[in-house]
Amino acid sequence: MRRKAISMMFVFLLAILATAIAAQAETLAWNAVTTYTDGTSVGTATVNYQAYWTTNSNLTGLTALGTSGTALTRTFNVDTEVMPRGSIIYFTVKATVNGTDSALATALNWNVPTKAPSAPTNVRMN
Amino acid sequence: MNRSLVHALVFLFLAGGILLSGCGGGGESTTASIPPGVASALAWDAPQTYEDNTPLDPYRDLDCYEFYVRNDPNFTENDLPLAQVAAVEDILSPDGKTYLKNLTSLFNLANLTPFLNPGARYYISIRAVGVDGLKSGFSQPVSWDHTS
Repeated sequence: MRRKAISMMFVFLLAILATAIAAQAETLAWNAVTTYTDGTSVGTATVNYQAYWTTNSNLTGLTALGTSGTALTRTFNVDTEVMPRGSIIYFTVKATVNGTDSALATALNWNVPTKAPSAPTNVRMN
Repeated sequence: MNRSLVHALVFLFLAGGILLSGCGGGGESTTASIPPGVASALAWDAPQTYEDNTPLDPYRDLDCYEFYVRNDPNFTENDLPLAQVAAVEDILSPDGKTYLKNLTSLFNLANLTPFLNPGARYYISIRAVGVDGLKSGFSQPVSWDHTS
């Protein structure tokens, strides 16, 4: 029996969740996949998502962002992921239903935020 | 003999002044100060974090330091730096065959004297500049009585 391709109708949202302490977390979000490419419903089938990022606009050289799962968001830390601050990177997501992968979602470009160093301390005359 | 004793007392007095100022701005004052004519260099500790408290590697993440001088301690974003030094310098290894990375943490104040008026009190503040060009806030100003 031929499997249906999965239609990926993503709407990406990027939210910055500034924490009161230490490192800043970022969250990538997307809409759920509900249909196959022929328009029929996915129904109750489990849809797993895998998010990726890359510095290449053609979505090559993808780096997985966390592990695959059913959640519609992925929280990450720029420094932990070693994302290049001050540069544009591209996010995409792939859905999998019953072993069949969707095409990659249209890329979302994002300028990785820069951050300033703290001021020098213990300034003194010698 | 008495003259030597006087010199020794003067030295101890001045050294004590330096040590007190170097202990770092406790109490009510917002600036550190030193006796006139004594200071020859400005020293500081490199930042170890970004402004959001995430760790910073000064060897890798800092580009330079900028030095700001005013007649008062009220530094603003409109101020321009009077001098700049690289955050990391290459120094010759003990065997003289290679260069080692060394964090810059000292600035010779004589570099500023051509631009300043002798006899005036100045305030100096430092900003760290990251490799992406973003600048830190101003460090706590230190006062400097420039004598020559």
